[in-house]
Amino acid sequence: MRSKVWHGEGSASGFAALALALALSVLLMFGGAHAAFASQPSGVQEPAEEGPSNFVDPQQRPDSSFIYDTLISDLAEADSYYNGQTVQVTGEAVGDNLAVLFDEGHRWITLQASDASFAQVTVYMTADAASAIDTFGAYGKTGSTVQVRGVFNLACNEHEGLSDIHAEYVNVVKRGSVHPDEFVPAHFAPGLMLALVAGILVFVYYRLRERRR
Amino acid sequence: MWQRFSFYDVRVICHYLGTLIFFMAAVMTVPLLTALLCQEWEPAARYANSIGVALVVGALLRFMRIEPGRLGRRQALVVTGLAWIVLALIASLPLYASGHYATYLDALFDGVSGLTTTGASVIVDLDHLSNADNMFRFMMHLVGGLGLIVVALSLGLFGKRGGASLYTSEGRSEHVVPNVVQTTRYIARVTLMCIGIATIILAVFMLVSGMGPVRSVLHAFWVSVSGFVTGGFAPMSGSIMYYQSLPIEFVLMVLMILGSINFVVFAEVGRGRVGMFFRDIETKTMIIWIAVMTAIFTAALSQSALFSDLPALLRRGMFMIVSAFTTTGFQTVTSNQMTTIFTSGAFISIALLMAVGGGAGSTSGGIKFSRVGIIYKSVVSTVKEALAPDSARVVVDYNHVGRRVLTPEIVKSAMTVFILFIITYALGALVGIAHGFDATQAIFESVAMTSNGGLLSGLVSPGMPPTLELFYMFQMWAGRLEFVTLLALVVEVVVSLVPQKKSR
Repeated sequence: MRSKVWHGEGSASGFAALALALALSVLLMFGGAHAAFASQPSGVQEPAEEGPSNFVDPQQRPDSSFIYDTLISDLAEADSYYNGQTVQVTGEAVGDNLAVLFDEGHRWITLQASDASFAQVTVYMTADAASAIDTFGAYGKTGSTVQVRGVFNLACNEHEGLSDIHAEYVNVVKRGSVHPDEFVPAHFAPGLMLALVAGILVFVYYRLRERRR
Repeated sequence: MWQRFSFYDVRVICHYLGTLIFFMAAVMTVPLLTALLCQEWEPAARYANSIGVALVVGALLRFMRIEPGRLGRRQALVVTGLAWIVLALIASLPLYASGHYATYLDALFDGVSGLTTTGASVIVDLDHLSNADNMFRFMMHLVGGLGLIVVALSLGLFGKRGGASLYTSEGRSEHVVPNVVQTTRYIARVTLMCIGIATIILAVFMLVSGMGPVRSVLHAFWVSVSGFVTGGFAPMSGSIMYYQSLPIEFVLMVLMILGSINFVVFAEVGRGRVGMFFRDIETKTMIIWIAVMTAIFTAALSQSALFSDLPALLRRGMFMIVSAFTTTGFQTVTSNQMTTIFTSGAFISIALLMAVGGGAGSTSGGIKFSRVGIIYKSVVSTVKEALAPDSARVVVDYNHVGRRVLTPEIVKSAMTVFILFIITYALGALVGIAHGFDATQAIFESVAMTSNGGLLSGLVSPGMPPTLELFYMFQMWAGRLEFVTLLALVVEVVVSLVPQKKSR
């Protein structure tokens, strides 16, 4: 199945730069490690001699602001650790494609976890990205499965304390489907029979009541 | 000497319960019609079958007494007390068969919650629920909010006799007009008018926000019902937060406040006596209580690192205050936000607002403003008596649809219900703690259940411990009946079951 991919405006170049930086860092780290281990045949890791060509900044802190493949149920029970982190969630789009007040370019989409938790998260995304969602989950409808990467806010400053994700990347990974109920007359038979029995009982009741008067 | 029930009493009670089950079958025709119109065939068959079961059970119970005769006060108390549970049992049948409940007890919990207008729900995957099932959930709110007995009386289900006994047994004592049936019809008329207007306004806002026409009208009707009867069920898991719309939240705040006003005061305003509304002890208590609690809530919440900015406080804080004091239970913040980013002070403030509730004679739950006002007046009276000379006679009066003198009977009645509410809040909290839950959350949930507030902090969830679930159901039932009817029912049953000592 084809999937539609959307990159958030302005964030596409940012993401590409981030990916490039990560790739460069990995290459440099592998290069440095290879050089270090090459001089240690025993494999025992010792601090490598740092020459002027080493670009690794020892003051650089590890970047933990990106959490891959977060569960929606985790976000539904998130504490402040998750606030402001970039997360990637996948879930069924349910409900409606809702307008954002005084912001025509964006929409509100609700994603529901596909697991037994049925947890939900509200996603703020561009109208273009939201238009890629073909079906929204409801009775008789399974919504499109959507993967969203963006910044999670436990209490969003931009949206008066709402717990939401500001999408940077939206990908429809599976189209939704519609499965209407099938009309089976036999399913109504017990109800009709019971109603008939009740009707007879009511008739007998009123006959008995009339006789007593 | 306690009076025992005779077999004749039991037969009369069963007859009237059968009549109420017939009434529930009639209520179920609304979701059946919804299902047929929306071509939801599985729910349509389910409701048709449930109606059949209800009709047969109702008809058999009516056979218990062919000529039921006049309903006495004791019998009326038991009919009212049992009606809430018997009808919840009937209501749980189509709910459980929907497949949206983890256990049968969960479906029964939602039945009790719907009828008592608590609004706490343990349904799973709500967003895929059929329109018919949703319609039934809100119809339960509508008839439960108005009062099962009020609706039955207004429809003339109990005939012309026995109405007054039933009316007072449902926790209502005031009449808008002297005739009980006319009073109940007035209540129904005001409710339908408010819900009708709100539905039109909300449907327009929902259409504008991008919802389809059918969904807009249905959702607008459902949240209007839930808002005015201060129920709390919502058609989406995200409650009112789902709509992400300030205008919708504003309309619902107005609706919830209207729903929390005494119908008798409503009638006075309708007669052009607006001044009476502002002089009423309930209105005065409400203004003072809400002002104080808003200040405390805001001060407490402003200490939160993540929820202290003014727009968040104004939009979500204000909505939560209105939702709590009207005991509606709509949410614009998640349960997780309440427990993680709300300060404990803000969290408990919400619980206190639910505990006191709204106006007596309204659809709100909780202790009620009138009782708090009367207890305050009683304190004033006690202080005045302490300071007055021995020969002086202290008279304290208050305003409630005219000037009234505070009598010991009025104070005793208010104090009894107040103490029973406090005891039940405490008992529920202890039961929650005994199940291993956090004490603050246990207190919050206990208050939410007894006051029929319905705001949840996470303890009430699908597949929760059955013992806790049963106790919460008892709390919802007791709180809706304001204890007296329930206690009378318990005493009658116990006394009737204890074997009588043979006289020598």
